[in-house]
Amino acid sequence: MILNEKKHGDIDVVELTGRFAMANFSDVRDRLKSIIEEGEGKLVIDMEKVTFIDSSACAVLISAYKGMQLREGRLVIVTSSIVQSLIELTRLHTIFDISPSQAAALLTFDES
Amino acid sequence: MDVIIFADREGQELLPLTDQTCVALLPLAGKLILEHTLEALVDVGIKKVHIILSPFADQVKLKLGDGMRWGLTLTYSTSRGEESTLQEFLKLQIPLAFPFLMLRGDVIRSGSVKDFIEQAELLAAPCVQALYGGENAYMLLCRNAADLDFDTLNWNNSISLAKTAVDVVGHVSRIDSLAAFHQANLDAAARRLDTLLIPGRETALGLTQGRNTEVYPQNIKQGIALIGSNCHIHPSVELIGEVVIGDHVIIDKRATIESSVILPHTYVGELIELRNAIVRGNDLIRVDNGSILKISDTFLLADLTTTYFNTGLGPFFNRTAGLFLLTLSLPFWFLALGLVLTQNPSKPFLVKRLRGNKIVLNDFGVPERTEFSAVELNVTPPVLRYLPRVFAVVNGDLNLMGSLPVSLEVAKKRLEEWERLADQAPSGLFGPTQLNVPAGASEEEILMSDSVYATQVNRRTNLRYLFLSIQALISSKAWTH
Repeated sequence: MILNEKKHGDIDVVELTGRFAMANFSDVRDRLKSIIEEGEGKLVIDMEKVTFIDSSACAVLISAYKGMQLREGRLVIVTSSIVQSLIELTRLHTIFDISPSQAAALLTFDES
Repeated sequence: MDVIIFADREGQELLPLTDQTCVALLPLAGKLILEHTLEALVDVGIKKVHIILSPFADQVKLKLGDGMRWGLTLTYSTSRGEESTLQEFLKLQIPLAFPFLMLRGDVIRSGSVKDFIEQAELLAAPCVQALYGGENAYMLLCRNAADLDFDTLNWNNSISLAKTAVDVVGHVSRIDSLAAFHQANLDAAARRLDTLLIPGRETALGLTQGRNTEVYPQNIKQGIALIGSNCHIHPSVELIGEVVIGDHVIIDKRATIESSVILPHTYVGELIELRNAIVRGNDLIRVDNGSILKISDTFLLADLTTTYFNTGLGPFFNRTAGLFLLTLSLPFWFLALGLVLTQNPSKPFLVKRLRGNKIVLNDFGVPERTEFSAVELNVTPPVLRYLPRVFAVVNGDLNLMGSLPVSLEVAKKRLEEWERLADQAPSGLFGPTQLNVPAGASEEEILMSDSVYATQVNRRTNLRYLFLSIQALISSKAWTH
């Protein structure tokens, strides 16, 4: 799992690549937690290049979502087809703001 | 012409009908509400449709598939539900050829889509809204994505807002209440929504029925009945006024059904009189006075699809497996006893109240899972700590394989659709959460692990977890951690 962070103005973008699973979920969870605490309340988690995701990774996404809610911020998730499948299977699409690409995700912040 | 259908209504206004499905999948005169929209599009030669879904998206995809049966190519995306149509459109990023059509798939419209498109194409406006009989038909023909009147597609907006509109003959039902749902069904049965394609064949005056249905002309006392497939209506049943009966419905002797809608998989008992009602399983909804009753007596009304964890051969297998495990574990009880007496003689065990798999009806007649007392020995090795839970398997409170048992308090905090997914799996002694999720894990981790298990549970996965459980039982972690 590779975690790459960058900023687009006041929007934090976290790009995840590879397998997002129990083996590395605590690293990602801790990193996301500090980004949420230090950020401006705008976060994009780009998982377009994630090749595998499991239930513990979904738990990390929920924690990030709840963290952003507490700060009255906004989290947008970019999914690959594998990630999208698990998110739909677990019905998390009813709470997550999902965009098909990073560009579209950034655009939604402009519109709002 | 490309088409985008919004079918993302959450349907709070239609509860309890939408507690297990979404508005687009509610039955209307023998078909799903969304099917009526698809058929109207097929009628004008549409080939490609993209559908935006939210609650119960998996169910919609399962029911509609790739759209081949209509000659359509269906693609899907999801949203959080009832988001602004502008936001949803911006997130789509699918290549669209102009002009394209955007419409709602969770309302009912009776009118010619062809007439609207033909008239709208004559206008030069970038965006033309459809009105059917002066009402917002939740349909836009778009020529320019930069200048769209998205608000007209928000389902709770019935007022015409677009700069340009075309009014064609027809009618729109927003299905915005239980009474509206009831009325739309009766209107469709009585052919007042004349462009809808109603399934079945007319076998007697006023009687339209589906295949494999047993119904008799004398059942119709006066009025119109639309009856689905695989139904059994006793010859002594009286159908009065406009009546819609879904697929797989059984109506027993001398029942009287007047101006009512019976949803699929429902049993209506002997001598029952229903008037101005919607019946779904054992839910009785009176649309004239707004009362919603849950009938617990299955001789009166019953849901023919209800399945519980503890039915069939499952409990027998689980209890037998529990007895076998108990026998195998006998030597370990002495070991556990010895450890308890040396480690914690003053407090040898703990008792927790957990939710089991036995089902009882609560005071309101709603089936609920019961609590049981789960004893834990106050020792360190997990195998010995949870040894008494084998008795819960023998009792039928737990399955051998299942989700992590939680307390009723924890279960009651799970309110949202995604949180309640885990409840679809029975609680078990072993399972993926018990095996893989470490002690002290967050509630989210436990919930997600059990949710994924609930969506995948079958004999094969249970066998795999049984094998992994045996491996775990003989691992050093199970005895030392």
